[in-house]
Amino acid sequence: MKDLKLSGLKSVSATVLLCSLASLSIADIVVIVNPVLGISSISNKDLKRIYLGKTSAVADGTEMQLSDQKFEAPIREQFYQKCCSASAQKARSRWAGILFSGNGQPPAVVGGDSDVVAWVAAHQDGMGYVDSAAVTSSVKVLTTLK
Amino acid sequence: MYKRSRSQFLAAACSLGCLVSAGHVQAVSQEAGLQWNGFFTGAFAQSDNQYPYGRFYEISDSGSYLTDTRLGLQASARVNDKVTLTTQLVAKNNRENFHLNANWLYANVDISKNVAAKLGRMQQPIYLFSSQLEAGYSLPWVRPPQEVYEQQFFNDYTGLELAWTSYVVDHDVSVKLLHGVQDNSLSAAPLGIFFGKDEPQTETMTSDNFFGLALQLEGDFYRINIAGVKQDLSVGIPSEVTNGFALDLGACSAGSPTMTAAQCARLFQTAALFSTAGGASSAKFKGDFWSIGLDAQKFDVRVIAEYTLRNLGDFDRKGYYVSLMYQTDQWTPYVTYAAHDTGGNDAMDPQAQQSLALGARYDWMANTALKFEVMNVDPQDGTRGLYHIGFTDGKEMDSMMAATVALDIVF
Repeated sequence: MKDLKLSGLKSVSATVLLCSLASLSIADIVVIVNPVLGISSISNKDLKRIYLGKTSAVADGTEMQLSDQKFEAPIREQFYQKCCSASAQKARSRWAGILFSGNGQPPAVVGGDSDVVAWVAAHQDGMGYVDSAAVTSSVKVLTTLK
Repeated sequence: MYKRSRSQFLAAACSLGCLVSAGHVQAVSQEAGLQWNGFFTGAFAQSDNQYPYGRFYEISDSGSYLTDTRLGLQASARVNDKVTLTTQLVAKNNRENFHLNANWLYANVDISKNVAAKLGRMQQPIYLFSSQLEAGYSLPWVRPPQEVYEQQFFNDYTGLELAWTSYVVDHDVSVKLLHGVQDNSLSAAPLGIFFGKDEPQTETMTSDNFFGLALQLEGDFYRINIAGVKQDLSVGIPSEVTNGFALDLGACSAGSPTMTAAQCARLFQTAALFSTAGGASSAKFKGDFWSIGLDAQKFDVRVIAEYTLRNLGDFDRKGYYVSLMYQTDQWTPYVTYAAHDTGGNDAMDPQAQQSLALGARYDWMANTALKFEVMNVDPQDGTRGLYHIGFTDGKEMDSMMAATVALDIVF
C-alpha cells in the first residue's frame, strides 16, 4: 500500500516536473508581424494596450489584426502575464466586454506556433506571438518578452 | 464593394432566426464573410418571497429558469476601412417570450483618427457596464445591481453618437455626445401605484428629445465613467386604464367608491399630478439622469462602484453600490452592498432599500463561466423597495433572500 502511495507520488512529481519543463521550454516569447509592416519595434506599453483592446493601431497608424494561440497552449498564459500583467482568462473576459459592447474584435485564435507564423505571414496587418524558436523568415520580430 | 457587403449583412441579419434554429450559424457566417459572435446565459433564480422582485428580473419564491436566460448573436460587417455595420440580436424570456429583438443596429463611421460617429439603434453608455449588459460572461456578477441598473427607463436609443477618443498622458479618454429618440413598452409598477391597483400594468414610454454626454477615462488600473442625460418623457397609458381611472375617480368623488379610502386618496393625488402633466392619457415629464462610476483593479483586488441620480418631474431618486472582489485564476468571489432611495420626496411611490449580495464567478472552461449568488434585499421606510408590484397602501414589503446559479458562455 505504502509502495503504491509512493509510486503515485512519484508519478505526480514526474508529471509536475514534465509540465514545468514543458513550460520552461518556451525560451522567449517574441511578438511578430508581417515583414511589410513599416515599424521595426513596439514598446511594452503599446503592446499591452493593443492586446488588451485599448487601441488597434501601432505607432505608424496601421490598424492591426491580432492573432492568439489556442486556449490550452502554455505560451498563451505566459504571454498575457508578461505582456499585460493579466491572466489569459482575465484578458479573455475583458475582450468579451469589448466585443459585446461593439468596440472591437478579440484576437483570432488560430492555433499553435506554426499556425500563428503562417497566419501572420498571410495577413499584411497581422500580429501574433510565438516561441522564439518558431520564427521563420516569413515574419518580422518586433520585440522579445523575456 | 459597398453594395455587396451591405446586401450580405442585411441578408444575414434577416435570416438570423432561421440560422439559430437550424444551427448553421458558423457555416453561413463563413460563406457570408461576416464576423459572428454570440453569448448565452442560462440561470435559475429563486427567492423566499411570493412577490416578484426587480423590474427586469422578477425573482420570486416560485423559482424560475426564465428570469436571466437569454441568447444573443452579434454580427459585424466591415464595409470598408471607415465603415462598420453591427447588429446584436437578443432573445430573452423576461416579458419578451424569447422574441428576437435588435438591441443594436448601427453603422459606425470613422471620421478621423480620433472621431467616430454611430448612427442607428445602440446602447446608452451611461453605466460602467451599460453596453454589455446582456453578455453575462463579460460581467463580474450574476447580474448588475438593480439599485443602479434599474434607474434609467431605457438602456437603448435610436439616433446618433459622436465620439472623440484619444490617448493622453497614459490615459485613454473618450467623450461621447448622444442624441436621439427612445420608444419602449415596459411593465411599470408605478402605473398600478398611481391608479390604486395592486398589479403592475404595461405602459409605453417615449422620449423624442434625448440628449446625453458620456465621459470615460481609463488608466492602467482604473476606469471612470461619468454620464448625464436630459430627456422629455411621454407616458402612454392604455385607454382601459385611463377609462377605469375616470370611473373610479368619479365614484370616489361621489362618495360611493368601490375602492378603499387609501385607494381613493391615491386617485385624487394622481388626478392632481396628471392635471399638471398634460392629462392621464398623454402625461409628459421632463427628466434627467446622472451617473458616475469607478472600476479599479490592483493586483488581484477589484473595486467597482457607481452612483446614479434620476429626476423625473418633481421626483428624484438615487442609487449606488460598492462591489469588492478578489480575483484568482479561476475563482472570483465578490461582495456587493447596494442602496436605493427616493429621499422622501416621492409621495406617490417612495422606494427605499438596501441589499447585500455574496457571490462568486468560476471560470470553468474556455469561454464558459459559472456564477453563484445569494442576495438579501431589505426594503425600508415603509416602502416596496424595488419589488415589482403595484399599490401597497403604505405596507412595507418583507425582506427577501434570493439565490441564483448561472452559466455564461460566449462563442
